[in-house]
Amino acid sequence: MSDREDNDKAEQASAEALRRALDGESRPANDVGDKVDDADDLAELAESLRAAYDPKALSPKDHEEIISRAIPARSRSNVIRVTFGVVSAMAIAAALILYIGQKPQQSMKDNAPIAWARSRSTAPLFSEPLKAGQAAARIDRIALAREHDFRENRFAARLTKPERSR
Amino acid sequence: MNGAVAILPFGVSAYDPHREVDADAASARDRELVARAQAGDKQALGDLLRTHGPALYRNVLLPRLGSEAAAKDALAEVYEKVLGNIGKFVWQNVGFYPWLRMVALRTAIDHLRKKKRTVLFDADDLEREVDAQNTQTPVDDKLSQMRDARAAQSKVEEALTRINPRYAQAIRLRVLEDRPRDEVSKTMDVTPATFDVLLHRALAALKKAVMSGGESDE
Repeated sequence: MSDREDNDKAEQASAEALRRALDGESRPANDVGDKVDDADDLAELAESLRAAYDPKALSPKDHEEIISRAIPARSRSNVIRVTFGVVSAMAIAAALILYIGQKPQQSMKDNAPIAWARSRSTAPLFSEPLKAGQAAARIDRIALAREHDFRENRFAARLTKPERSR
Repeated sequence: MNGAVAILPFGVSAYDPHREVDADAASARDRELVARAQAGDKQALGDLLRTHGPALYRNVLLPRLGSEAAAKDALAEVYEKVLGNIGKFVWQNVGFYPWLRMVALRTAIDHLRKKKRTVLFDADDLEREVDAQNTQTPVDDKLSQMRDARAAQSKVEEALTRINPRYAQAIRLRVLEDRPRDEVSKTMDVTPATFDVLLHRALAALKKAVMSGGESDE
């Protein structure tokens, strides 16, 4: 095949690619290479000629999209301010909920009678004579009972333990 | 008064009292919208752009950038610049459109300098238009738009004079007038396949002429 025939074939292929581009047809998958680049360039030039000679109007829908993209209803600084405000409001609301949630407990403390632990008298324990070796054990049990009562009353006073059991 | 006496293309002047009233009302409305936009009213800025944007796109950006996608991108960029610089705009009797057009031309120049596409206009053409706007007496918005549209058409016509008349005819019929391939083939007395090759050669010759800035030797 001569150079001239090669050139003719290449030109025909490029012309066909240009026709497809001008008609808006998709190109075949194997249609790649210089001839397509060349056709793409020429199709761009043709588009440019049309745009200059008889430009199409911008559709209102496309225009609105461009306006809303360029000029968002809320600017970035407004978004930051709003976000900060919302977070602050939520923090205040959370603090209020905690405060109000604690208030009833506080009023319970003020109003409800405190069930104090009443220590039993140990006098009866000493009306009988102590046998040898028993005194220390009994006094130890009395001391444990008193300690227990003391702790219960401190808890009751602070309302850290709503109900006590003995 | 904003363009009550219009110097029409081809040297015809006309005085239209209704046009004067309309232009004054539009100018007063624009002035109010500009004041509100400068005070931070986004709605007012949006209304200004809704008023002038379509003409800016169709007469300035699309003809000079050569594709809808590029023109839309440039228009969005123009709007962002307007949003950032509306505070610097000083109202003069010529109205808002000339300022907007200047922003658009400068944006288009940036796009053309970065372009990798084959288009009819180049950045130097637009630089000359910017210079002209800075030195010439401002005109009515409609007249300015008409001149822009006419200038783009003239650019095409002038480019076609630089190539073989048969090539120019092929481009005119198939590309500019968007006539069907078969119809144009018949008009030019060739087969459709031969017409494809003819149009390919015609556009290649035009590209060469546009790129070189002179006549194509084909």
